Amino acid sequence: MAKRSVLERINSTSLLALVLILVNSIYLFEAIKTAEPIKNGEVGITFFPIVASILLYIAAIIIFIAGIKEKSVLSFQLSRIGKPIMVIFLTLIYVLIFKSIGYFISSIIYVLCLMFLFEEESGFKKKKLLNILFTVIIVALIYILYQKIFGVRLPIGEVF
Amino acid sequence: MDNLLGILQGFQTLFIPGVFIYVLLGFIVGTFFGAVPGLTATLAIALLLPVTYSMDIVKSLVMCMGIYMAGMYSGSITAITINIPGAPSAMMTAIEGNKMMERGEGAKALGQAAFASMIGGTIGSILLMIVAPFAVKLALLIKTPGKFSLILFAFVVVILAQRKSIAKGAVATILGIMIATIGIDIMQPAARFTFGIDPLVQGIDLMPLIIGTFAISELLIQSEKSSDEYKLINKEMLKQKISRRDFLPTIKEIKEIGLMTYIKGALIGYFIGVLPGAGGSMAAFISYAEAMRSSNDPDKFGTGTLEGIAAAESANNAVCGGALVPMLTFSIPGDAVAAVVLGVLIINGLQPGPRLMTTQFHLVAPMFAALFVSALIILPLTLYILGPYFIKIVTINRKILYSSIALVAMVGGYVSTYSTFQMLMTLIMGVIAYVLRKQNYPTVSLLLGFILGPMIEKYFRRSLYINDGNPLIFFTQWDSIVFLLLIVVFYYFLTKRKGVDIKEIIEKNRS
Repeated sequence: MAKRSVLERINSTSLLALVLILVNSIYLFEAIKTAEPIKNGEVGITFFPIVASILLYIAAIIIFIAGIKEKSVLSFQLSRIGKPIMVIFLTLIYVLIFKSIGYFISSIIYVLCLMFLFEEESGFKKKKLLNILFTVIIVALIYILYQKIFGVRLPIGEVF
Repeated sequence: MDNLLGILQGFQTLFIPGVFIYVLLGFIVGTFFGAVPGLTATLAIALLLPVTYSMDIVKSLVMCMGIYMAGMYSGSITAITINIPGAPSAMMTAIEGNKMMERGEGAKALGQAAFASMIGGTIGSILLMIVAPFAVKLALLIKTPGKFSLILFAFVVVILAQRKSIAKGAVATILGIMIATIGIDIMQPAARFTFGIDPLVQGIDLMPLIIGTFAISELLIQSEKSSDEYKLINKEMLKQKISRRDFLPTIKEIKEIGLMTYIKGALIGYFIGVLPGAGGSMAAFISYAEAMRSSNDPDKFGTGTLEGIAAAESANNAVCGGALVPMLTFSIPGDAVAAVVLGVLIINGLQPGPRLMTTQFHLVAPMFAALFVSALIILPLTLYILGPYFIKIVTINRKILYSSIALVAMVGGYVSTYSTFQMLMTLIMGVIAYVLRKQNYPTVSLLLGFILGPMIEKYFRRSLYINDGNPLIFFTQWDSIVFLLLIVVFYYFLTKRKGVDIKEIIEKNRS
């Protein structure tokens, strides 16, 4: 069997380790930029973060090496990660519209979209109506729980 | 004497109807979250976190105790009935319990799991009440350098407990520490790691981190699962029929198992609970292995034996009492649930430690009482009253369940500071935790790193400050030396000693 190059041996384990190394480098750069770790013999605000960063490098490199020794290869199954990406996207939209259009409308849109995403059976008009009904009930119940029972103020919307 | 009085007053407070109802409510919520595969007691308390802001702290804490005890026990329901542990701590119960279910002895297995959980939970709670006051006295003796070494010891145990991948445990813990460094420095009025983003000056709140790590990441994991997989579980569950009268274990069965199995399991669970980051699954595993090692007939393990269920369930419920001792006295949580309960305390402005345990003991005592009552009274009662319907609660509609969790989680993220920035942080933390979970990084370590990171840094810098920057202070103070030596001892036991290969023995017995 032909020997694979390091690049070919990159799988999800080693890829995540590489991402961690990259993020860690940004963190370390920011630490060095912020202040000296030791000044006049005194430990400063970046000393401890720099130590943590060095330890993270060591652990991430160990994981990277273990990753390239694995037999598995990098593969993406869009069918598997498609839904999580959709959930992340929907949640991001929800965060962005939450304050401006208020709790009720934003939450109804968010929950309804999630309902369809987690739908077990499709093709029935009845199901769609049921989803809308359940959405309204969930949004109303959580409103009652937070605002009425626990006295938490939820936004009513800036555009209205 | 003062402590005994305090605990009795705690029981008195607990039995006020307006307080007791919260333990019951917590227990029912915990039973549901523990029983449904994917949902955990940690998630339940994480979702409860935002509402504790406006709740009375005593009610919040007793509710958490109900969830904790129930969540630890109810994982056994699906473990026994359909061989899918509702919580990781029920893994060993699934091995024995499902075999019994296949033989038509499901109710007996469920009854035994509840009985063992009751014994383990009760012993754990009693030990908590006895040990906690002594732990407070010990905590008062530890000075700043010793506190640094103690947290260092906690980190080492948290990381080494991930025996399958110590490096991944280390990465998750350090990431938690790094996230905690964002914002104003703990000792000087200077901002760090804001990357030019103004809202980051206030740092990342504990609430978005907890909710993101446990709720949003779970939502993302669940969204991956196909509906067919879920429908199959529901179909399997609805097939099962369980009769109430079979729940009660007989004296003969208890004698056969041996009282020592329960007590040993409880003690193992309690001490594992005290160790940071270990938790219910490790306790159940070690107790099961010990029961197998000391059994007269180890060949029956893996074929559906009550002894295995008793050992595992007694241990995982005793963890609850153990995990609260370091959390309340040193701010070091023993497991994930204790870490989130620590979050409840911090968010409500309470700092665990000797002061909390002495001057504010009236807030903590009802919590001890709630744990005890949950184990001894509510747990068996719940099984007897709701047992035949347990299976139904697990079959709740998935889309309603996860849509509700998503909404509670995101609104909870907003409630922490009334800002959409922390809501966004909740999502970001959820995505980070999801990616880490996909690669088997322990997210509990991330949380522990986040909670303990600022503390270890503070003690480290303060120790150096009081000793003119000389690091030798960590090796000259007795309290610090003790914890540094403990690191060496635990390193030996957790890395050098080979464990029992349970899997191999079980496979052999089954074949």
